[in-house]
Amino acid sequence: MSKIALIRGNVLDKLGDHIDTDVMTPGKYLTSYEPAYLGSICLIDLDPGFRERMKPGGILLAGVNFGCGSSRETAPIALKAAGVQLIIAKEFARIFYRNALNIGLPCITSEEAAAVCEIGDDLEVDLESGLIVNHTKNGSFHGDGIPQELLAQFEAGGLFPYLKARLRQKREK
Amino acid sequence: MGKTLFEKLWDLHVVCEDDDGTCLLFIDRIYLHDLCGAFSFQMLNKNGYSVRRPEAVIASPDHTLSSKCGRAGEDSPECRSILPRLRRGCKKYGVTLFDINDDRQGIIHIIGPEQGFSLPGMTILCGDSHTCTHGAVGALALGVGTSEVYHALATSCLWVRKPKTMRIWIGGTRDDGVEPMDIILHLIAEQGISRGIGYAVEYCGPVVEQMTMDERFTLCNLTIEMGAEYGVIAPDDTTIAYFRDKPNAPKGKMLEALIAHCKEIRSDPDCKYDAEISEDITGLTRQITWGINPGQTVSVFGGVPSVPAGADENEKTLFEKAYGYMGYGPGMRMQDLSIQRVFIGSCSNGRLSYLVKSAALVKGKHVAGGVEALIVPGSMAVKRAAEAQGLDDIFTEAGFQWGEPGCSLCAGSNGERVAAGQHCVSTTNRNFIGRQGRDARTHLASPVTAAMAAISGKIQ
Repeated sequence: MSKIALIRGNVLDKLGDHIDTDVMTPGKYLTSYEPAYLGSICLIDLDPGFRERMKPGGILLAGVNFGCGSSRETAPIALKAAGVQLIIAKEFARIFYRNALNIGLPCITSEEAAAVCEIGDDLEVDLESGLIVNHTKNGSFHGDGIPQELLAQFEAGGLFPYLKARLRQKREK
Repeated sequence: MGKTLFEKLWDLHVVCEDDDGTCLLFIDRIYLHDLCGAFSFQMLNKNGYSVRRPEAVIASPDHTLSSKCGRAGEDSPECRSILPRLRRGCKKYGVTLFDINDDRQGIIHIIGPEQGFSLPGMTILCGDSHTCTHGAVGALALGVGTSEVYHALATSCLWVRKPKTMRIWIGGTRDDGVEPMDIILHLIAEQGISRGIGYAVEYCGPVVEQMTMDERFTLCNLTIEMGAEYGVIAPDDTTIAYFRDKPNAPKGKMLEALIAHCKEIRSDPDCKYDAEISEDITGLTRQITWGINPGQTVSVFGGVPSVPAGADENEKTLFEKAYGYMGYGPGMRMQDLSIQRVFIGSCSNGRLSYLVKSAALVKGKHVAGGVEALIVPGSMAVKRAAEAQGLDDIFTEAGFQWGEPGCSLCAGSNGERVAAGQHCVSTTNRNFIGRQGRDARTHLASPVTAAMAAISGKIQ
């Protein structure tokens, strides 16, 4: 796999279970799709300190059912614009997971890493295999990597170029 | 081995399959509301694609519209920003728009079936998580984000991973006053709000078979609140009677073919589900949420629960967060709570039969002092039918505000909100923090419970 499959950064925040997309970008802000604006209101009511703690390249840890609720794509856009480079959660809601990948925010599922790692830890993550190395605590964890086709889609530059490439391959077979 | 209903719907639409089981599915119908429509059109514009099958797409504004009677269409800043973009896109790409004064306008999940666009055997896509509602007619209906709406608009297809299947059998005796909202809230409370992740749910059993279509839509609508993206019900005589006269349902031989097809799209007796749940609802009482997610539900006769013994740190945090946000602690009886707002409507419970039931409960009575009650029909067709029966008069004479069709107080995207600290009994599907307004305290319940609460100012 190519370069984007390896990510390194510090854990800058840790959220709990069942964080829904309504709290990420509340309904009254949905008339914008502007990343900078969405980043500025990300988690505004739930956790006003989030935007202080999160910096570009930060890794976000979360609990179970992360991103449940509304299918609003503004939620992962806001997190990404707020600086989040990667989310490691115990479990992701399915629509959020697809939306995040589609807008270029990788997600890794690892119950152990999401439980054990802490704010400040320096992590190195292989998106394909799901291997998470904690350089601060000298440990490693196995997570669910990003499925091949989603990673390929990610690397192809999004849904569209990927569809074209795959259909071309099918024809050639 | 036989196939489940969901697997049959899936297999009928596979264009091609990847080695890992991800499939490119053909999408029969795409629905656009104002928010997902405006932004998916923006993506088409930016990337220079067009809509592949405009005849398969319908659009209706719902999220940002004012619900005030006599609305002009662009009464809120939210609507002024979004609606013109939806209109421009529909015009440019040849998409049918049910605009603000159109008799077919309404919440997209109400008008899809109501206009006969959502039919058994179809795949249906919309940029809204409650798209699972349409599964009630026996369709594979999926809620997605804007990028995937854009992709489907341009290609009529979408890459999707096949979910596992879950059967939820519902049987027993349904007591008077117990609504589908009570049944599904109880199921979510029992199973948990993430139980359904990765599954497509099929609802079946005698209680489901006896439900009207309006009731089945409620059941399927809240499937996503259990974490499952799909909720389906096998089409039967009730389904056929519902869709056969709808404006866009097929006619003549095509109609006969669709009815014949309905008999095929059901689970085979020897099929196998990945998970099975059986629910006997005998003795079930009306339900209401006490906390900050749809799983934090109790009987209306119950009280705010304590943190369960043996709860882990995360679970404990969730309870404490709910106590803090809702402004009460464990042990408080739901019936002792005073409420300030009532909202009846939404894609969950905004259909005609629910307005009829609510009207019967409030007729000749008056909304309690200190309570503001709003009732919003789910669509223009529902509104017209209700008005033809005089329901609007019953509601307004009882002190309710009678609104114009849209998502209204459910989504908080039209500028109308519940004030901080107010308790609102709401027939919607989400009681998340800030959903109905900053620090608004939402209690999800059926239209019956909401109507009774409006009159008494209490949860009864």
